[in-house]
Amino acid sequence: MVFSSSVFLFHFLPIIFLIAFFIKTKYTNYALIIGSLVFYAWGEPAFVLLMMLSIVSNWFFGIMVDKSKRKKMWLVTAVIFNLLIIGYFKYANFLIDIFNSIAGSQILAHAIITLPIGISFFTFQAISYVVDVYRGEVKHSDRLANVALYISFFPQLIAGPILKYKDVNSQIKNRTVTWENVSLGFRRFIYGLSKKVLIANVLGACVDHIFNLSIAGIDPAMAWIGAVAYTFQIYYDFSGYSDMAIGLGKMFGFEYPENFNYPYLSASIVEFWRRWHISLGTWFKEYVYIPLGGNKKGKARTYLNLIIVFLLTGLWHGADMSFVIWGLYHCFFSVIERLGLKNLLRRFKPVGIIYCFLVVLFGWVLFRSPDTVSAMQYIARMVLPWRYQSAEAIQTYLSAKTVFALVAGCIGAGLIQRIIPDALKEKLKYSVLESVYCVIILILSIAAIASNAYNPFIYFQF
Amino acid sequence: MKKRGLIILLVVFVFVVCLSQPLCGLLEGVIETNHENRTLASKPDFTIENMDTFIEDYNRFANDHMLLRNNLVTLNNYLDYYIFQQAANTNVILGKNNWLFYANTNDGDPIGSYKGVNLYTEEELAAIADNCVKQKEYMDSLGKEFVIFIAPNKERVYSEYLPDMYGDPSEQYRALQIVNYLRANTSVNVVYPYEELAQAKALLDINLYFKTDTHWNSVGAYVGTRVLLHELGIDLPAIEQVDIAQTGPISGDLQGMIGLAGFDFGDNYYSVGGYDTNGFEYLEYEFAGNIKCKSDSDPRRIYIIRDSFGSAMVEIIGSQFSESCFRHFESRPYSDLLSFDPDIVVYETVERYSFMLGSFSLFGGE
Repeated sequence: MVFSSSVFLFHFLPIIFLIAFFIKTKYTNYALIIGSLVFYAWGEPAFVLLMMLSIVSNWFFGIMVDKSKRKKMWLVTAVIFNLLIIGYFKYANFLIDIFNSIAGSQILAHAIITLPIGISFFTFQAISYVVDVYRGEVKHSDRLANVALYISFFPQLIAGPILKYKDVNSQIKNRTVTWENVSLGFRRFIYGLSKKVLIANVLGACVDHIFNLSIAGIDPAMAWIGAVAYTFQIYYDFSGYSDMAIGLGKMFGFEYPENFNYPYLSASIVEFWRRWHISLGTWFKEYVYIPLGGNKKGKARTYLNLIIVFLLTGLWHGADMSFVIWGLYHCFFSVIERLGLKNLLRRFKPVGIIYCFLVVLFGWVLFRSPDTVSAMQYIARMVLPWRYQSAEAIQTYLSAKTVFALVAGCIGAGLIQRIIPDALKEKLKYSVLESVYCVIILILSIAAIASNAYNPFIYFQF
Repeated sequence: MKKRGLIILLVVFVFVVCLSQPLCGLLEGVIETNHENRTLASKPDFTIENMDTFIEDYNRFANDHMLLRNNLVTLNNYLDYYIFQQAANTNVILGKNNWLFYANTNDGDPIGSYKGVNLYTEEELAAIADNCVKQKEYMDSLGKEFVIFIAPNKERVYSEYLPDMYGDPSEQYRALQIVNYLRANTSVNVVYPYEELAQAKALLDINLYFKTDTHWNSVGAYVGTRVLLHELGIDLPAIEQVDIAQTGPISGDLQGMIGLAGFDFGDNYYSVGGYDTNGFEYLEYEFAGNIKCKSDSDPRRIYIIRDSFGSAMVEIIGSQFSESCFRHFESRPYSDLLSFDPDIVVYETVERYSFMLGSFSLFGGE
């Protein structure tokens, strides 16, 4: 079930909200668990069993890690168990491809495997629970329901933010839902919904048109427009989803961490990864980079650790070499910045912002293209425009609506927030004027949902 | 609650999200009308039998039964059209001066034909001709005259209203290929009244095709039918000699496709009179099946296999033959062809469906 569907907005959300709001507090978590399983089953009926297996197993591992004398053995077992689940469903065919290419022939056939929605998100949450218990940062949960709600709660279930048990543990046990929070959460949800429906989906139609063409049919102008449109599409799609998740969490009494902080205003790639998909970056930092030694074991080891983290970040996004290359591409710039480029960028911040935006933009071409060769051919059209003829009239793929979404997307990705004085921002916040604006964009979003079936979230593939 | 803005949002949440579905149930049939050319999904019951399809069925039900759905769809499409000059349906092209054009590549690809990018090969033309000859020989064996009639696409006749990016119409295109090939290589009689329509268009200040619809109007149909009837030995008055009257506004099929049915696009129905209708009378009218009529004119009987373009030709043709039968091409088999015992058989198709000439069959029971 996607948030921007009528079945979620007008059937699931009101029912689960009214139940959670009006039943006795001690039953609320059970209602939310049942609701979350229905939410997940709506898209993947069979995989709800996989999720329940993950919940029960990790709850058990948490107890064993906390109470057993062989804590490390149970921790390793838990991590291997979770990695096996994600490895089988997400990476089996990728590993088969690698094996076959090393062997030089098709020895192993592809397995027919459907990827469970959100598996990368809920598996990482499960791992962080067991690791945090092992580290003593949090006590294991005696109640299966607490772990079940932590892993399966529908707002963050299929596209994050990736939570850590230590951050929400106390909220699962005890939280207060107020009408004020419901209103604040709904406000945040509206902003997220409109980012997804009014901007990301509109840009998505243009992006799909361009990237679905054969490479010979793409001219330099088209290539740039497609790349820029995708750069904003993926931001508004994913950050819109995070806004909706954070808003929904608030409506049910949870405070979720922010997942984006205007990443396209970053002046370096290192800064970009502190602002983009913050919960994933934090997860890798806490559970991979620092355990590997972080930057405490010398320069060479630091760079090796960075390579490992970016390699895994790429793989997390998809089981394909192009994602690995995308991860290593970001790693390359992150390393050269640490080698001295960052000092230069700090002195000329506007140059840094342009540099970072372009690096990220070319990275998104690697990310969006069907394979690395196609991506290289696409990038060639962007950087060597004199070698390619124009192919298609610009109006066929760039409508006035797309231009509007692109301009709005560009302004809304941090520029307007920087320009408006703080005093005015404070005045507008929660004002009647802002709520009227929210109601208008809500109506426009619902109108677009009513008349448009173009709805898949990009990040569901992860 | 400190701020009034938050109170407003809370009220909106309660009314828009929480209460819209119960309200929709209460008001269904009172304020909501089905403007779509399909049956809206009904609420599915969860049973063992429909376990596999329940979720999909329920999603369809939820989409079809949103409170004020029609108004919301219209709002979205209105903004698309009037603010962004964009069609909510990718199969519709917004032309100049509120002209709409059909652009479905999976339904005859009229724009591909306009651009001449989907031309037939010699082998394909030969295969089409073979089939046409086979049908003609069958009709010859029954002693019936056989004619193929191709109604020109709107995109070609009114190309000046297409957006500039589509350029000029291609000089070589599918329908013309078929017409030229049949005329050069077979004895099949084929009528394609493009030139006559172009001449009439230059002569009149009335449109021959609807602005908001895929079809020609009564005026265009008269011009086209006159060419066909001339081929069958009947002469009707020229278009400038008949009476044309505007009979009311129309909201065409393309306008419906972009969800703006009912808005004034300045498109009109016309009636054509002033020619002898010979006591024309309908005997039967089923749009997707048979339309039968009679008149006190030429004693011959005519059987026409037609598409939707043929429906505007009914009264003109029907008034010139003693009995006429117009069978929709999708209502196969044309089993009544023999029992009707016509003197003339016409296969009518719009240009974008002319590829069907390679596969249509007049043999009963096929």
